[in-house]
Amino acid sequence: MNKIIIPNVNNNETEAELISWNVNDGDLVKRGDIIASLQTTKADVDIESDFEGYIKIISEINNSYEVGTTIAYVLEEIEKYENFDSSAGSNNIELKKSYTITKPAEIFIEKNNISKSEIEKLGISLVKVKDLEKLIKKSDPNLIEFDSIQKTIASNVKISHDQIPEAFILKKINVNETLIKIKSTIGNEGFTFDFAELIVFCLGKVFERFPKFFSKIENNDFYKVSSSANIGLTLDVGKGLFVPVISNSNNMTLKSISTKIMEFKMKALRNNFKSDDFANCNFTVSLNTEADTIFVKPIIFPGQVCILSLNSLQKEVVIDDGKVQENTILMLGLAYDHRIINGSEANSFLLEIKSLIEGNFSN
Amino acid sequence: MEEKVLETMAKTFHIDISLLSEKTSKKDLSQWDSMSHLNLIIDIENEFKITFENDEIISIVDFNSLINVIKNKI
Repeated sequence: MNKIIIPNVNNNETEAELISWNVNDGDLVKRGDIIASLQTTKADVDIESDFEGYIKIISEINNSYEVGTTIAYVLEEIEKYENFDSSAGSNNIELKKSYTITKPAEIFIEKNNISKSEIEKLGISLVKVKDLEKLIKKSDPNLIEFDSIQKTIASNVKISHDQIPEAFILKKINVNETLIKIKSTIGNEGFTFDFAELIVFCLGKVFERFPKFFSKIENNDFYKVSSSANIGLTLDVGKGLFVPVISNSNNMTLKSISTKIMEFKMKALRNNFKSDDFANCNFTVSLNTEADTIFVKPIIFPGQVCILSLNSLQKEVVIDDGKVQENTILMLGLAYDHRIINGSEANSFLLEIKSLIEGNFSN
Repeated sequence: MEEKVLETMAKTFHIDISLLSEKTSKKDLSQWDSMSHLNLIIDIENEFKITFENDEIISIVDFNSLINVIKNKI
């Protein structure tokens, strides 16, 4: 009668929790089959069968067992399995009634003065930090748990910081002439636009010359150039941040882009976006046009190569040919993935955008 | 109705109502930008219990065009 026992995973562990059986009682198992999974305070461990035969399970999942405890037998013949005396087998089992505490949980207990009786009340065999956090929350009603959406955002920020070697470039653009053009469309062209609409339009215009900037990162080691400029626009109208996507903006007019963005802003205000509105983004524009915001350096969304930061208009006084002149200035920043784009390319990209914005755009 | 629209505009644009008149236009009022335009639309919708279509939102460029669109809906 071959025994399946709790193995000694490492010298600091005296027991392990049986997490699952991958076979059913009575199944024919072969040598090398993974038959069960264990969890210790340090690792998850699979148990392989060293024998071939019919398995007789004599232990229960979610219980902790001492190292060396028999948790099953492998019987060579089906008759032996059928005649197995389960009471004899069960006598070999010494069920561990108490609980095991993971290392991080031990530190958490000490830091938060959690009593043994409180831990026992949890009624679980393996105590983790997550379980203890529930106790803390119960004892202090003033504690507020992080919002799950914020946690997701934070996770993306962390991934971006960890994985993307980013660089940043900031350009100053004189928009005196552009503002005149924007004003002249009001009431005359059947649509109105602002800098957000203009930037998306300009990005569409430079797409063919700078396709790499609109790539998608694959498996963190490859990138794929997209066939169209699908521009995400960060919209926060006081009801949360949305990033709807103006797909195929390289083939759209300024009027159609303006109409699309207007629709998106209304959807944000009315809270009636559909999932398709957020699909296939390969370049993001971060709108930071609140008054007096000089510039914001955004994070690159994981999977994308760039993000453009559009900031609020600033006034600047300059002396030109001996005359004092007031200019309106737009600060435009580009954060880019240095694995794909170099500084000179980023500079050329922004210069092209700058040239279009400063008056060389036509619908 | 005109008075109510002016009051709503003043509230939406965070300016004193004395700065607004029947001649007020997006062209001349710096507070009336693309985002505040849409906030105005939402505030007018709530005030008059109406809903604007996209082409109507685009067609509003001054006080008079706003009044005309509202009149057609109530």
